[in-house]
Amino acid sequence: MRRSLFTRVYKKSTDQQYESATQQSESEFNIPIGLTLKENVEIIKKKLGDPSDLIVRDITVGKNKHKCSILYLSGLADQKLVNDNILKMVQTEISQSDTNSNQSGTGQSEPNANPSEASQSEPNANPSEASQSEPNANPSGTGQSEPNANPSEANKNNPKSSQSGGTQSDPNLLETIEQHVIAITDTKKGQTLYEVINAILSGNAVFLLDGVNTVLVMGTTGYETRSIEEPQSEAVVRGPRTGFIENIDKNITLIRRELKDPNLRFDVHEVGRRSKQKVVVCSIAGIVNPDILNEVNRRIKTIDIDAAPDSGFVEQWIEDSFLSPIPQILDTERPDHVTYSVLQGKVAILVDGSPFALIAPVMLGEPLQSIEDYSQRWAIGTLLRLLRFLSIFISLFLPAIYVALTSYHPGMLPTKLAFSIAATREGVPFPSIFEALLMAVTFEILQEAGIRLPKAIGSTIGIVGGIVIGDVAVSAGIVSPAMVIITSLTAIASFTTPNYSLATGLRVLRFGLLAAASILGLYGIILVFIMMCIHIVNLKSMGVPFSSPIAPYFLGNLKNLLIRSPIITLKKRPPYLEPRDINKINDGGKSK
Amino acid sequence: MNKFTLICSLIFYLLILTGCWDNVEIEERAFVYGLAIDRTEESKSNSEIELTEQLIVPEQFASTGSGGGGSGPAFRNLTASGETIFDVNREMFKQASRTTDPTHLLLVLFSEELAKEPKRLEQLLDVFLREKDMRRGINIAITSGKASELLTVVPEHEKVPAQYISKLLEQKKNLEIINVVKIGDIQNKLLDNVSFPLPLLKTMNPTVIDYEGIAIYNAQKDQIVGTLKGDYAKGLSFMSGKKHTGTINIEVDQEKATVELTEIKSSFSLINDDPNNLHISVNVEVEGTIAEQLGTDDVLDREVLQQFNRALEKEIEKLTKGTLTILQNDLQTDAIGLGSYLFQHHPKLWKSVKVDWETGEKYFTQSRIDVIANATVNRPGSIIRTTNN
Amino acid sequence: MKPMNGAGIISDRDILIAVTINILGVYTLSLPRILAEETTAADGWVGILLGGGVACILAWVVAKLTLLYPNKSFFSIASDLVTKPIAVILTFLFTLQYIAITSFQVREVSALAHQYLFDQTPLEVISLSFLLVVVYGVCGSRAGIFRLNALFLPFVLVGLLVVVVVPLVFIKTENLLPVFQTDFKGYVQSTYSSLNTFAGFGIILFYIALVKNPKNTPKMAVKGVIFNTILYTILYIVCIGTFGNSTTANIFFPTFDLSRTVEIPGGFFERFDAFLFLAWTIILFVHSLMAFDIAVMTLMMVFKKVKKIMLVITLTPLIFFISMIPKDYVELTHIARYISLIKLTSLLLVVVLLWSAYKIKGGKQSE
Repeated sequence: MRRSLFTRVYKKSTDQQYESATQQSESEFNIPIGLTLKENVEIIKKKLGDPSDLIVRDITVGKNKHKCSILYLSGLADQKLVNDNILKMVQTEISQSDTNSNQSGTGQSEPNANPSEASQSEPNANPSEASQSEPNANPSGTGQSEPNANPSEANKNNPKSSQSGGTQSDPNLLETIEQHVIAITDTKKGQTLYEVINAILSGNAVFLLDGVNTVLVMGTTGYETRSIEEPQSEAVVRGPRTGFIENIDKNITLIRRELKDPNLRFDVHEVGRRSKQKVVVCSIAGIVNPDILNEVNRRIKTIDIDAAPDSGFVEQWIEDSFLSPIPQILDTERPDHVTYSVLQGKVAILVDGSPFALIAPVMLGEPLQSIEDYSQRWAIGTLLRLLRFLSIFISLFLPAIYVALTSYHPGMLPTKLAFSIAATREGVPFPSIFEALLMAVTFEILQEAGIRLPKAIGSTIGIVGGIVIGDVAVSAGIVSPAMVIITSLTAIASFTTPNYSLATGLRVLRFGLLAAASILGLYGIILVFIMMCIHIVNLKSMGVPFSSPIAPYFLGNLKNLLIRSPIITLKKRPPYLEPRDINKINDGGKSK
Repeated sequence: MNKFTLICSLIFYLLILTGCWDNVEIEERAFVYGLAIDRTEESKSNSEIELTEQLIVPEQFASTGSGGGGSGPAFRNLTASGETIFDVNREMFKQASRTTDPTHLLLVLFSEELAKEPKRLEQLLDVFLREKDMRRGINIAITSGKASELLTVVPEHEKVPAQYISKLLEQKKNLEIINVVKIGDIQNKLLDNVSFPLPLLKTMNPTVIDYEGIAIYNAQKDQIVGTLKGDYAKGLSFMSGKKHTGTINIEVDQEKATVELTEIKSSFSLINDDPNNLHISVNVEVEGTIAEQLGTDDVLDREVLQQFNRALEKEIEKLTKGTLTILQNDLQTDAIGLGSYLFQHHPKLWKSVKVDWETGEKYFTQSRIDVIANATVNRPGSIIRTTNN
Repeated sequence: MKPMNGAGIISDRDILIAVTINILGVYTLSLPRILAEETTAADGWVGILLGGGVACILAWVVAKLTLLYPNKSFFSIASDLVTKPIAVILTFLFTLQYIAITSFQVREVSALAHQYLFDQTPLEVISLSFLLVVVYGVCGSRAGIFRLNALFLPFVLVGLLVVVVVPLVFIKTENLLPVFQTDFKGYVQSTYSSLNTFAGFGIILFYIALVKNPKNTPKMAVKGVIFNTILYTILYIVCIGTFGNSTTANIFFPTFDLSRTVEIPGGFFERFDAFLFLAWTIILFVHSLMAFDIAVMTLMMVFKKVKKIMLVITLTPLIFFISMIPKDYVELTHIARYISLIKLTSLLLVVVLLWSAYKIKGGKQSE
């Protein structure tokens, strides 16, 4: 409670700074585009620091030989698209308009014929390009009101400009080119340098026409992305193999592909003062509780950061308590997990550049559920869930209990076990707490080394760690075999947690419990356990109490928390999310 | 707000870091597995006792024996003497290199000599119930002869004498063995002034201990008043309706036969409730299997079966009669729990006879106790007979 | 902004859980001993049932009383019915009482730990570490306390279930005989003793004001008491069945010793008292947490401007020092009896006072 208050105050103060900062940077670039093509190009070049990958292609268009330029960044834009659908079209327009002028002399009627010809002449190119540009088109769907407004503005501006300067090009030329020449669906018009530069940096191609202060921005973004692969951090045996990639548009497509619901909503935000990343909040209108959605949107708006290389940055900005070792937002690589959560009435956050989607709010026990539980038969799904609860208990408490029992309460061990442990500890030079810490730290080092090293060498770590440290340390009498068993059991148990962030968070708690056990034995463990519970009940995720599934709601949720009861019995969405539509299935399929 | 948490946690850590008070590593503890309590040989004062502690040597205990390094015994016996058990235990610290830890105590042996001193046993039992490390499930036995001697007997099957003895006590396949007596059960009997039996053990040779019989503790006199051995012990088992089984020898047609009993049930019923003329009948129901037959009877014959049954009943009645005679006349101790029966089922009668049950008026001695046995042999074994002659 | 379950407002069911957990306490540990002293064989169950019945009626009355003014705090009800100064005195009475209860629990936990876990660890360390955890809990939200109750309930229930179920095999039915041999005085005494243990339902006086939809709350409070009555009866019978009457009367905490008597042979759970210690620490913790919270709450009713955290900071050392006052266990057991007596009488006093005031004013109030 105190902590979340603290974060909120902190965020508010930075909020204002952020606004002023963004205003500054915007005003710096907020220069309207001039009329002279050369100047415009020069300014853009200057602002971008004349990069080598900025491609400026000057061509002339129309019978009046209007100068124009196409600008784009070579790596970000799809060059084939630019070449075939922009450059080629414009060039053919030039040649055709020349021939046309010879034939009829009237420039007005020409363009009407052109597009049909163009589309006829290259029927093969269009579909493929359309499919390529499809992901690009989607995000702009939310901002479609803007381009609609632009043409009218452009129409207003253009007559003025035509009146002011005689040497200027035909005011309708840009309009004509957009309407009839450019074979790209996603086009916009920009009037400020800020817009144009942003567009170039996002991989769009920009068409500048001499004497027109409006710029045509064409969605040509298309850079190399990783292909869709099986998610590495959440492998399943049975279930879809697709995983998110670094490209947000593709990720959105992955979700759309699974949910053909017209109510699927994507609220777009821009995050990162310098990175200008797209952050999308995904939800289903009519299911999601608007309070939660608004809260998520509000929090994302407070983000002030240079760049968010991964969704983890976003997560840490918007979570309720940043001091807590327990993640309050779930991260997943799996589109099916996102769709499942969104259908439950949750909200997913996608961050451009990160293959990890965030799911909020997340409740106690949910990080322990794998989406695969639902693909399998309910009995085994239930068993696996219980097993995961058991292993999280082992991974948290086992070393601490071992220390407490061996050094404080050997009377609580079964007699023969007590004797065996005493025998194995015979001759070990360290007290059990030190031994436990030694092994725990060794394990952490091994784990960390295993992750950092290249895969080929990674297996060596296993050999060195497992055999050398495990076996030799025991035979040398430095650690007891019982401790090695405990440590490895703990390690293996911690790997069963489907959510990696939770597993890493709990590692911290394990050390806390160890310390408590070494000081007050079992009593210490119990006290820390109580403290953990207090922390959990006071923790919130997006304003929803973290412990909701168990308290205040109780029995109704256990069938989808502790156990995984048969699918047809899971009729309702979780009530603690207060979804708009609580029923998943109205009658459990009984009417059929 | 944060300062407060900081200060709190600082106090907490300061307090905590000053020491780990009760921390004794498991390998620094010497687990006491068995205890033997004797009277001191050259006893200076009468109340002095000699305590022998059997400490576990974990390394030897846990070794599987495959390594071959397991030389030496898995236990270590220490002996010291003093006034009270707890005191002697501390005395032992002068000899042991490790802290003795009684949390896994399995067995306590009292020498018969000591248990025959009035009030001695109940005084000595106090520590086992009071001490927090002790469990209520510790086994108790009486030894004829020196108790500490039993803790030196090392059989081939077990590594530690205490373990051997406690397994012996838990044996259920012999009628001379009574139910295991745990310290927790005794407390209730001592508080209610109810007499009870205790197992009696004896060393036979350096590797064997014999379950000699049953020692009878009289709650009024607060001492062991006598022992039941052999058939008398069997008789007691019938009346107290143990969950045991065992064998009984009978004679059918002048030929010996052995019946293995599979179930024994006993119940009391009060027939005459005049305190001076109490009449109680003990109903014993047994079921059994023919285990061994020296004769050549056709066990499929109903007649023969009836003979078996009747012989069995007669034998049981004979055995119990003998036991009852000893209990009522020689020992004057109600070890079969008649008093408890009266208290539970006839509380008003019990109130009037309670004080003079075993002593004074000696209602127990005077009362008439009949045993009505009802035996059923329900399984003949796999064959009918071995030979025909 | 915060959409869910409006903070500070709890449901009926939370009251049920709170009452259930709050009645369980240190008294539960020693209850079988006290009852066994006063009755023969297993007759103590009559006392428990009677005590439970009386407690049910009381709980119903208290709940109804607070419901006369729905969602109003005790202080405002009291100042409405009996003038403000008296209300202040009454509220302070409860503050003191709950401070005493918290201190007692804090002390009792170290007594329990010394009884079963530690030898040399100083009392102060055990108590203080416990108290600090309680403080951590109190600093959280009040709704959080109720969520904590619900979270702990399974642990407590499973713990008690283990206590009850595992010894079932070891119960000797003859220990339960004879029936109804206790004299009348014994029944009265045992009823009174068990009623004392039920005094924990007093918390509803303060918490009902937080209930969202308090129509069914009296029923829930009564359900909580009934649940405990059943639980106590079973516990008592298991205790007597396992130990016998005389032993039960002579064990300090019979309920706890149940777990030490029984050894499940074989497996890892040969000795399961560790789990029980968890359950009992949790029970004690919840008990003292709620007592502390009520102490803070009652103070905040009177001093409306003081921050909660300030009150907690001032009360913590006070509670700690009070808890260190009793010198030995004899004083502690005496205090236990006094506290439950005070708990019950103050509750009765307040209820009678407020009811009569309401009856007198009653005509004017009903509009």
